[in-house]
Amino acid sequence: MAYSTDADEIFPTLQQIVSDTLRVPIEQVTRESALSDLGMVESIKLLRVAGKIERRFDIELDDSLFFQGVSMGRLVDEIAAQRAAAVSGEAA
Amino acid sequence: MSTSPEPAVPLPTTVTLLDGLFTYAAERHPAQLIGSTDPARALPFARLEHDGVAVAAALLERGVRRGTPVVFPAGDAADFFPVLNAIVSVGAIAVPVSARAGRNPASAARLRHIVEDCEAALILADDDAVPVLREVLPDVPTHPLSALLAAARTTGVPATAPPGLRPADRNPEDLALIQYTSGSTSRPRGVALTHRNVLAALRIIPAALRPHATDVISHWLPLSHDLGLFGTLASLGCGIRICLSQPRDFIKQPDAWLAASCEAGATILVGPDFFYQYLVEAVPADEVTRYDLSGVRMALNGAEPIDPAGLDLFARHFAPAGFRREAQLPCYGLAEATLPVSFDSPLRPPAVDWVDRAALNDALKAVPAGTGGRGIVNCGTPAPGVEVRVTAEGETLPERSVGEIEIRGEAVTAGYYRESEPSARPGGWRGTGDLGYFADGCLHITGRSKEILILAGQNHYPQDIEDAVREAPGLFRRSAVAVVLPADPGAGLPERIGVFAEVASEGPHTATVTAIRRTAAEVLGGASVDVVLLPALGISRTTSGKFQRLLMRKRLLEGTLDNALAHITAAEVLTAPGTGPGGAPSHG
Repeated sequence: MAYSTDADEIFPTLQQIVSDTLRVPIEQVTRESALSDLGMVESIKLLRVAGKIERRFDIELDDSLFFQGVSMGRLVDEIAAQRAAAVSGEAA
Repeated sequence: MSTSPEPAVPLPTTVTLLDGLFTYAAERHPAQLIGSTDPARALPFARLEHDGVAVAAALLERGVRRGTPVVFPAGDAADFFPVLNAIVSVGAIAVPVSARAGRNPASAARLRHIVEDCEAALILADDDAVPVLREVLPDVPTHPLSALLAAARTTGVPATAPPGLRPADRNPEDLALIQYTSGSTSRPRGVALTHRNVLAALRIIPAALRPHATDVISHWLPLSHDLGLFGTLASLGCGIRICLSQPRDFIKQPDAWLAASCEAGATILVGPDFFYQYLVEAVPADEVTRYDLSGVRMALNGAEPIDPAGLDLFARHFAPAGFRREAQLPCYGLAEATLPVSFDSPLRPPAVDWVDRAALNDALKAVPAGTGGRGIVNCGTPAPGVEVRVTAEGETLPERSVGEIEIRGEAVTAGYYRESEPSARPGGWRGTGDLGYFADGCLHITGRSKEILILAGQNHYPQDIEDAVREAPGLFRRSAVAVVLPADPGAGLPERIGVFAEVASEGPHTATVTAIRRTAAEVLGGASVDVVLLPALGISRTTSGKFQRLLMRKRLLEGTLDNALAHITAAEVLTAPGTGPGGAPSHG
């Protein structure tokens, strides 16, 4: 199942994963919100989000990214970058 | 005639030094496996001894001297145990630290305090932590662990043992290991453990649990934490199959971890309370039957307060997978006891003592009450070789009276490393800082005498959050204090940190609250906090100007904090303030 590396596709999927895992209404997960803004986030929940993203997009992410209060927008860029690398890696 | 399973062979009393455990395990159980649930990727016990001796020779070449502490990361078993074996083999002192130590500023600061507290002679670190550590700790030699291991594995075991290797005049009273799980970030306290302490604990655990030779233990606990480290070393001593995963791998894909553990035939699970709740969340009810947990004999639950409702929920959730309630085994232990203090009986389901909440809080008495009261999980009887008593002002209390739990025994530390004043009490008793009571000879833990928040097995101290949030923008003279707030099940809030912050300006204070929330999250590994905003000088102080944290906490909980401007709970969603392009957090 090819993944588009286009950021507009990635964000809705990321929104769904974060909303399901942290049990936060999806409309409150905006591009600017950082995970710690979303309330009651614990390290285990953060890593669970990371695990689901990695499984869903078939990529590896640097975990510390999740602990530095980065925004959803930044995560989308990181996922897009890893996907692009993976796709070009496969193509090479 | 069903033959009863053969008991595991106990560790012989001839083994009196920690490196002796590795030598014995390599001779007695050379082919037994430790590591991945996939046997092809696991390691035979013999390898931990072989690599250990090779690394010891490499340490001697690097001038590691007897009696000096060596700090090293608790990564995977294949590296961790040979290095532990090597350090004690040259008579140095092993100081295991989190594998993530030194990777970011917060953990580098904590590591700096540990290295200074124990005056470490050498730091072994993962490659990407080495540059950070050399900058933060310029005057302590820091070597990449990978290079040391690679060199040791290529040169292999020296033909003739170098003189410094396992000198004959070593003594079980020598220090073997320092456990830095107590104390706050800025004032860490290293639990100093002798070979004698450690070996005593490695005999107490199997004496209490009586493992079978065919048992398989599976866990993912960090090896820098007493439950993970000594649970694994005790398993090495018994010669049972050990499945170890990294904490990160479990937390990221808990369902995959559970499937692999069942596949490997796990009969013993061990972890803090949150581990079991996390599995209930990770495995939807309609997928439970994909797993076979009928073989699990013991599901040890320790290192954290145990939620009675959580025990029941786990047992019911996984019953369709064959999980038996009798396997649930609450236990109590801590670093100061090396690990073991008490274990519940494996022969019956866990028991909960329901007591009257007011009598417990106000009169410090555990008066039996209906299930409407507070449920305290029964943590069983003291393990053989560990003495336990409950005291107040040095007086031993009768049953069902709440006081501080004190312990004594061969596995109990004599004190903290280089402590300024002795922390042991008369008669060799040691305070645990935990509160509880005995009922029918069984230990019940009710809380802690000192302010600690335990999240996912990790200790957090309000002091650490206070130091971090003081830089938040908009504070009046950097005035902020932190306390531990009790769980509020009604509002869906667990036990968490609450920050009282004085703000100078009128408001709105979104940037201040967001900054406090994000900074605290970095210290708490992502967890969010309550924020209570107060006007300038709104935090009450003593006549000498010292913040009165517990008074503020009491007034907040009683609802008599009338000068509060706002109370944003940890669960509330913040709308991100105008954080500029790319969503970079406003606090820079």
